Amino acid sequence: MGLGKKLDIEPLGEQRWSRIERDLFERVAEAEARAEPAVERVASAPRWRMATALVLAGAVAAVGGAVAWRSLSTPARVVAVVPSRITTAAAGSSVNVGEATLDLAPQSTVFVSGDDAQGVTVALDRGRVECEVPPRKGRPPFSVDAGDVIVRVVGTHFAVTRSDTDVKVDVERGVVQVVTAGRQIDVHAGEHWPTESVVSAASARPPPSPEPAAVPSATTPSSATPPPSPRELYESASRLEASRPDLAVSMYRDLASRGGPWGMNALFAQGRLELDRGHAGEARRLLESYLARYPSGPNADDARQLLERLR
Amino acid sequence: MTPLRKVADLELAKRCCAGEHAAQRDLFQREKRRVHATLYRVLGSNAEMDDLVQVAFLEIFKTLRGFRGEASLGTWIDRITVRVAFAHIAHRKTAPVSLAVVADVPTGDASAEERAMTRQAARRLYAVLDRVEARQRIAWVLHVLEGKSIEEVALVMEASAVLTKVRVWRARRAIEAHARRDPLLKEFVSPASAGGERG
Repeated sequence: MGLGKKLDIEPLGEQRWSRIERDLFERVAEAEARAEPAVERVASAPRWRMATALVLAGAVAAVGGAVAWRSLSTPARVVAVVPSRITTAAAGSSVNVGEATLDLAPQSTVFVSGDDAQGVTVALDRGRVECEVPPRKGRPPFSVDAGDVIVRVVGTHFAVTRSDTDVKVDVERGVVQVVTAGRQIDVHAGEHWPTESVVSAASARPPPSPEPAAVPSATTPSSATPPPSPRELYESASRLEASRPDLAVSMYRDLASRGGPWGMNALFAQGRLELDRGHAGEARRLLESYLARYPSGPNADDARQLLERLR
Repeated sequence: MTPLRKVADLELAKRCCAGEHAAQRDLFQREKRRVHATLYRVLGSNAEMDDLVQVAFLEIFKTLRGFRGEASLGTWIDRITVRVAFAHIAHRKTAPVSLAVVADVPTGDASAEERAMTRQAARRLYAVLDRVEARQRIAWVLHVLEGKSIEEVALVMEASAVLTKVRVWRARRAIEAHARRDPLLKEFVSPASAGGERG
């Protein structure tokens, strides 16, 4: 037996990986803020979330005629200290609010108030805002108010979309609490609100009565949203590996059953993830299946190496 | 590496360089275990792993501007990770490596007693490696523990194959010198697994 096989690598737990990831990207954000104080950064990436990043330190800037941002003591953090309005036009914007990051889609408007000490409220008037928020444990509250729907943050990465009649919440990591019509609903990583069942039920209802609807945001199903592409599903599953490995495995399985290039990648990823979770038998089966189906696939060498470790 | 993979790697590197956090997270998710495995093999414990993994990825994000796709992205990442490990070893004060917290991960069909012996031997091995020159240690670890060929190690360490062979040989000689006085270590680093037969 070779030495490398004798010496197992002590795995890091999922919670530890999550902590490492969180701390890493806080350091990335701090490094970016240090590198670009008091400037408006225009990113070259085509996606809206990267279209524009506003990083202001020790200054007041105006966006849409009435936006004010000011930094606190350190240049690495930018905190809204007065009620501020941000409106995006054709391009989106990325803004730091204390320890949180808000990514605004094009044609969106938010009002931001509060700070890290008092808590932050983001009022979404229209459009979509994607939030990266540190866990609230020991921190003041962070909430997104979208009309009849309030999203209270527990500590997560999530997005809220508001149209004239509809509000959608998509949670990538962590948990948020949706408060609407006197009800509270916890939405976890990988989940959406309203759920399909709520939307379907709302769609099947008779035309709305003059009284307020029980779930006002669900009266218009978001049928305009296209289904996620295989690539998007794969990327979602990849992001869920740490926080919801069961869900990630399920998504990979579903993708793998569809075939195609992303199905091929998903089959390998499922095998790798099962191995990480200590499910050696299932991992072996999946990796062998990958090699049988895609002997020259991009991860074929990786699959062989993993199988070698399993022997 | 397939052309498709190469194009995908270049695209991912480009997005990371542009500061796209989603791409950086994708890269982190894809390669975190690779980075961890390299650091763990070189250092022998997870004691300071959180910070080292972060430092490695910060360096990776920073240096990806120089990635042109000549080697695979994996090799690039290994190279940066090894630099981080080297800097860590070179700057730290000598401290005993603790493997006491190693999880009781099943290792094939080995009995619990064998696993305990393996951990004990591993602890002694890393104590010896702490006294080996950092570059020699890394070369030996990558070649013997990670199973990379001499050419791969040379690529990762940005050294010639000849120099890499010399480093591996010197580290092996130091380990064997200790092993002569330590039967457990001797059995553990038996000639067949001591790294002299490949490359």
